[in-house]
Amino acid sequence: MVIRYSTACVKDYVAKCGAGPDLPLTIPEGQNFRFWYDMAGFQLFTAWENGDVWGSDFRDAAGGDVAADGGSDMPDIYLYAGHGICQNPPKATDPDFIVVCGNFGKPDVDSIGTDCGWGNPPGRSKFIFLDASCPMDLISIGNNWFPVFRGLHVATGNSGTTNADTLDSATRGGQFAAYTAGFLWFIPHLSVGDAWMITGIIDVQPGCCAVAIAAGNDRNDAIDRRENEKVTDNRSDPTPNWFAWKWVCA
Amino acid sequence: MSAKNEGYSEKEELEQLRRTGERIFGLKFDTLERAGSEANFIAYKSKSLLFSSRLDSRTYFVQDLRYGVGRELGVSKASKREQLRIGRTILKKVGIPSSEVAEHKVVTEKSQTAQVDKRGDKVEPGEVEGGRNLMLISRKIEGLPVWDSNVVIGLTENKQIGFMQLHWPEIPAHVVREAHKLAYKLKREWSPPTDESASVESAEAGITHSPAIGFVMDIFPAIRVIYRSKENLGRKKVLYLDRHGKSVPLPRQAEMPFSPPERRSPPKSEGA
Repeated sequence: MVIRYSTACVKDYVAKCGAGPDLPLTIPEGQNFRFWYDMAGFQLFTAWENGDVWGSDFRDAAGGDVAADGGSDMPDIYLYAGHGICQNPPKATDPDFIVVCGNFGKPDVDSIGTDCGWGNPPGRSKFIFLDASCPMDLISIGNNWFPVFRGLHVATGNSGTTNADTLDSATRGGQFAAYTAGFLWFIPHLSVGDAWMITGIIDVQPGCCAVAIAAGNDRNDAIDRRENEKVTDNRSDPTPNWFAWKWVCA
Repeated sequence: MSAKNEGYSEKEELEQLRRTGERIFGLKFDTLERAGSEANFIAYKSKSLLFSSRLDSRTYFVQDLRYGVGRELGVSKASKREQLRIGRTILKKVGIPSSEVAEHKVVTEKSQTAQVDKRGDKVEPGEVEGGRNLMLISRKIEGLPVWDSNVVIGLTENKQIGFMQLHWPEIPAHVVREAHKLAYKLKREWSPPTDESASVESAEAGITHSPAIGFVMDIFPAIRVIYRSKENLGRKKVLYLDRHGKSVPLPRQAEMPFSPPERRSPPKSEGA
């Protein structure tokens, strides 16, 4: 079984998009992530950085997310590292965002709940890891995340506020990849959910939460995927009748 | 080889590792599957239990496959006080002085489920449930934070270690000394660099080093500056700087192969 993965890491925001700040640790975070997955024998699909990460890569409706040159719904596993938007505090009706600064594929801001949909057509992305800021607020998880599961298995992100945010980190993504890759017998091999509960609270402010959500055909299936599904399991796509999510707060 | 040097053999090293696992961490190994060293790790793996240690750092990992929600050994239901007591005992046995403990707390995983009705427009969320309790321990040395050192411990229902990442490397004296100097400068004569798109939220002197899983161990004193976006964008910018205001090298996880960035071709039609 060949596992295909992509990384999309945005450092440069200020010069081209006039908003910021820049995030200098996203690029090394992507390098660290790729190091472990490359060692595991996973196949790199795309590794775009900065302006080569486009807003359209995440949009389902126009088919940008299945673009052969970098759509987020093309590989089995997709890591995004860059800005998001936190509310203070978020409400159930607030959107979650991905904010890039692309050379093309405008606009740069995607509302996850309305713009994104992963896992369609069948066999597309199984795991989405968003290492941004507040891309998975607990209070709005039903509005923003249930609709995007269209074959997707498990997704990870953080829930927080402007005062309990993620910090730019070169470490978080790499350690997550090391725990999930499962190719070194002397390093614990963890499920996606368990690995994110350990590594998703690296370099975050107190009160910021690591969140992992899974879909399932029924309740037991969703819970089983949340607790046990590994990136190497090669499980079939779930029908998203049920969702199970868990979180831990720093 | 003389008897005196036997302690340096891999066989003896593995025996010491097993004893450390049993005596310090209370591990009970079942059928041995594999033991040996690889890269900068040495490990002892039985059918259900993995215990490994880095050779270049005071770093240990424990994974019991039977630990976790819905698994054979379950998760701890002991009081937080009891779990903290167990944590303190482990630190003491490993030789970590209590003066180096910055914060020691237990956080509880929460979980929830929801059913989406047939039309997909109604959600019926269930009750919030408790999951694993994770003991989190952070580090300071002489009052200086060591941002990348930590201990994460999850206990089974019978209070055995189900998961552990203990990463507490020895910090050279000259690194601690320079970190003190940075703290001194920060109070008197050092200002963080400004950023037009962000304001400085905090600046603090401390020590940064390579994370728990890695093939190299780098350790640097640094001033960590955290910025808050003026446009309300999240994931806060962080800089790790030396006394001259220059970025310190990033602590590595491994030697990275150099791969020049590729450029992406424009889309055939804008908005694709």
